[in-house]
Amino acid sequence: MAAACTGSCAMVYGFVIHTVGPAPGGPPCRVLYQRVFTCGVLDDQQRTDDEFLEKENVRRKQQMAAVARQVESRCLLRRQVSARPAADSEEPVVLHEEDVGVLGLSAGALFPQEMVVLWVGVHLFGFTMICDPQENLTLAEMTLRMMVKYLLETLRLLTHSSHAVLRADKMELILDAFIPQGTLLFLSHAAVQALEKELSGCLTA
Amino acid sequence: MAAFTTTAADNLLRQARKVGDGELEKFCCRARSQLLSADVESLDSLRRLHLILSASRGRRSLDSALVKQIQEALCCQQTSAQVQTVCAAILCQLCPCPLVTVSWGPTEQSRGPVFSILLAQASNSDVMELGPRICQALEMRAPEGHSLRALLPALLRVVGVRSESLQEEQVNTVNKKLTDWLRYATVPQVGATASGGFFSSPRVKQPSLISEVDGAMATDFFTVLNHSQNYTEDQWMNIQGFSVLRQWLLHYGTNGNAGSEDKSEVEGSVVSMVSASSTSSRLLPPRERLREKGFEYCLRLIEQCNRKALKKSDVDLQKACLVEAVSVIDVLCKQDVSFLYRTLPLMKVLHTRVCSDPSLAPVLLPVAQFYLNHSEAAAVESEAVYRHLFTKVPSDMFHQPLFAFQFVRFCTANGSFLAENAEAFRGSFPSILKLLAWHAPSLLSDFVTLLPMLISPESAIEILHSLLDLPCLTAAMEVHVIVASSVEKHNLDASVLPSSSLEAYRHPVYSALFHYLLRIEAWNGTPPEGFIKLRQILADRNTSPRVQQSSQIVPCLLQLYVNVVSKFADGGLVSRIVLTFLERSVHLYDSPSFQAEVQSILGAQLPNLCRLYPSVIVELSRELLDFISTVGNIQSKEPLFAHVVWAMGEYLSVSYDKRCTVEQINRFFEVLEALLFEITQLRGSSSAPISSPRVITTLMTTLAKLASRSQDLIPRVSLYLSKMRSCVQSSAMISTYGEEDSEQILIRATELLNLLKVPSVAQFVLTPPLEVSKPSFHHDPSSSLPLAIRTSSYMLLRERTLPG
Repeated sequence: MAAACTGSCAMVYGFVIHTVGPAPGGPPCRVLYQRVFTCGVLDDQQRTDDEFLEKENVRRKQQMAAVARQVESRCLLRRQVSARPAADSEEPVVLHEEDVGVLGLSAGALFPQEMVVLWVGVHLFGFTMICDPQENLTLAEMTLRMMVKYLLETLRLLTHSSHAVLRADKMELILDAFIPQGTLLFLSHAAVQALEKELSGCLTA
Repeated sequence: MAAFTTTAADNLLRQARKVGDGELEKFCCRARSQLLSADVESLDSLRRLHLILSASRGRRSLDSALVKQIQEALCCQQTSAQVQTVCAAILCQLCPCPLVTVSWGPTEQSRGPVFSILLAQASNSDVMELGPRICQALEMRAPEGHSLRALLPALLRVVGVRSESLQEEQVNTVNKKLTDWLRYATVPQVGATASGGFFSSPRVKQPSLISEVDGAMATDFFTVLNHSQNYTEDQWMNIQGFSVLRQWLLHYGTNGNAGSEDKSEVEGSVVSMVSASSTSSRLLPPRERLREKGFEYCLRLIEQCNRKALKKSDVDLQKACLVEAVSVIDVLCKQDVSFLYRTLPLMKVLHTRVCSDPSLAPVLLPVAQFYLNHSEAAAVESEAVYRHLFTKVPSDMFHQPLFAFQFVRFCTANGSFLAENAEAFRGSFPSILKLLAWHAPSLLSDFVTLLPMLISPESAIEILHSLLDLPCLTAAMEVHVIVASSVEKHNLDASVLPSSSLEAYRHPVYSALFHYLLRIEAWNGTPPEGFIKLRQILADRNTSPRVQQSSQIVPCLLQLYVNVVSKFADGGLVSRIVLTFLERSVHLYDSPSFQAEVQSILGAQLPNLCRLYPSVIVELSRELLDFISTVGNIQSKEPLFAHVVWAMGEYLSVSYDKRCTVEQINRFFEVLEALLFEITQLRGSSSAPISSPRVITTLMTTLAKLASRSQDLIPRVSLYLSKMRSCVQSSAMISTYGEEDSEQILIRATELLNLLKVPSVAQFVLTPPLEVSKPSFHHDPSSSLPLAIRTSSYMLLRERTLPG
């Protein structure tokens, strides 16, 4: 199958929320939410080939699921070595150094181009951001931490896991505000607060 | 503690996957009527529809009427933001799909969700048209209530996949816009009262108060490091503008990336040479003007990073801004060398500052990259920058996963240049290895690329030791971290030897040993006296998961190591490596599975080294004989032992080394014979552990090989092999080795015995000439090899079918 052509751009390629650790009797890693910001451009012949489009659609999902699986295993390995007791649900979420990780995907491994995957593991959830290797990873890390905290607080994911699968609108609005089309923004504390205020106006239902 | 579960989400996912086509059709029908009547329930239905689409492993098809309705809802002004967003998310799930026909023109309100769909559709023509349209929208005066904020990110996406979709003219439009946003975002004049007054239009917002991250009033133009009480549209664009600046410059900072026919423009650098001294940058062409303003913006950011931020998140932002500012300046200097001379003094000051503040370590990497790219052109000394980066920084920052990753990436990206030009790079491999020791699973794949760049003929042996001691290093680092973080002070009695690694860390006897293990630069000498003691006492950490993770990657690194050294090793180095294998096989970190795995990899790699330099057997004959004469080695290091014996039989031959004498062969023979006698005849009945049949057959074969080269030994080995045959059929042996293994030993003994009956064939089979691997040797049926094979297989077969 001809892989779609993708250009290089120092941006976020995708964002995934997935489970970490197996559910009793369930498959190991479940993708709860995924958002791909860019994809390859298809030529006109490919666009009329329905079979190709179907495959392309499936391929995008499989890539995300494969990334999630790798992150899950890294996250579990990390937890082995850090051995920090699980925090209480009542406490506000504090992200420690060892809750954040990174892994490199070489070109051709899952994506045609090289990618860097940043992740944050919080209890049974993994939040994964797939970036271009040229991206400013210091900014990427701070953005991911900020978004994870906001997502956890706004959607109360830890106690309402169903929100991860049933609140796509909120997820998308939040991502659109903080990483529009996958662009990482240099947001100061005041700018984040201003965006949060704008968001709270739209996130009603 | 309340236990968190994902059960609710899991159940929903499962249900969503089970929804059949008929059910989905009914569901779509309901969603359509809800959408038509603008039902409040419609948001919930659309969310569920999104879940069904995203949960399915394949593509689910929706009926075209519903898709059309969803697109209408998306474009309708009255629809709430949440419904619009979920509509867009549904359409994105379907994309690429012919049913989705969303379009956008420059006069329409620009909204993120619409661009998301256009991008997800991934149609070539859409993308080619989208870029120019966005530029047009940027150029136009935005109608009241229209925000530009969705445009720039979408534009960057487009140029990321199709940079040629913009013409020179459009690139310049964006250049101008970016310049304005970066440099002239709203800042209220200090002291000025609110603009306007009685006659001012009420819709002009009061300019809001701008402050610095430390709370002071803003002193200069607005940047991402300023706080605004009430962000205006152009301040948002300022933030976006800086966020995309580096990428934009990489695409369009130099001529030629835009689809342009006009190539007659003045060469950029010449113009900027003038600009460096000129104050009126307004006269510059748009591209050069953007570079100039971008540069000024970066200078202001670097200056703003000196302020003490009040909020933790702003401290992080300052760090990210420094990284970005240095990277942008690096790009600018590449595109226009005149910036270089304006940057150098600044970079020197910045480097000093970053070195003095460990929390700014991530900034060191772009700074080092800057020196790497420009120090030659600028004729500035950069060795000190590299030395600090490679020796000290990894030792201080090893615990930060993200930094470790970026550091290793920096090394691999620039490794070949650094290996040639920065002495500190290879010299500080012990420091760099600490990152691997701490983050073994996540850095392994990058280290596979990095390790070959670090190994040089001079450092090869020390690196081998370091790789074998990697779990010790991890254990010592853990001890270091625990001791450094514990507050309690121990009063150590220096006269009593410590009983644990934690005590040892503070003990004077061990401090030099810890210092050696945790060194930051190559040692260039033999390890300090008594290093074995440290290895032993660190064994109390062998159950630590981190130590286990690091010990698991050692075999793979050793294999890589041999592959790398094979490319440049001369005979002397191969001998030293083999010697190190023999010595270190006894001295390994005390973790049973680790020792077994390492010994087996050492054994497996030995033939590769011998093949590279067969004389190693002659040169190291004394050490090799010592090694195999130690009976303990047979039990504890069987894989290595068997390979050493094999290598002796294979390479102790005059055809590999002229120095090989008959006396030497005889001496090897005697040692091996005594050994075989000992492990079979003497031990067969005793309670001592038995040797594996593999060792016995290897020994027998090696004896036969040696005999084929010194034919006086043939009667001796034949006699021995016949004894072996009767011995192995005895009930005692069968009960020790089991029927199958005894049978195998018997077969091998019989084969060898038969071969040796015709010494010339034996010599040919057991010591083939060096040309045997050449194809010509196998082509000609009358040449000796096929003939010899036929003869020997005939003899072996006959013997097998008619035993005795």
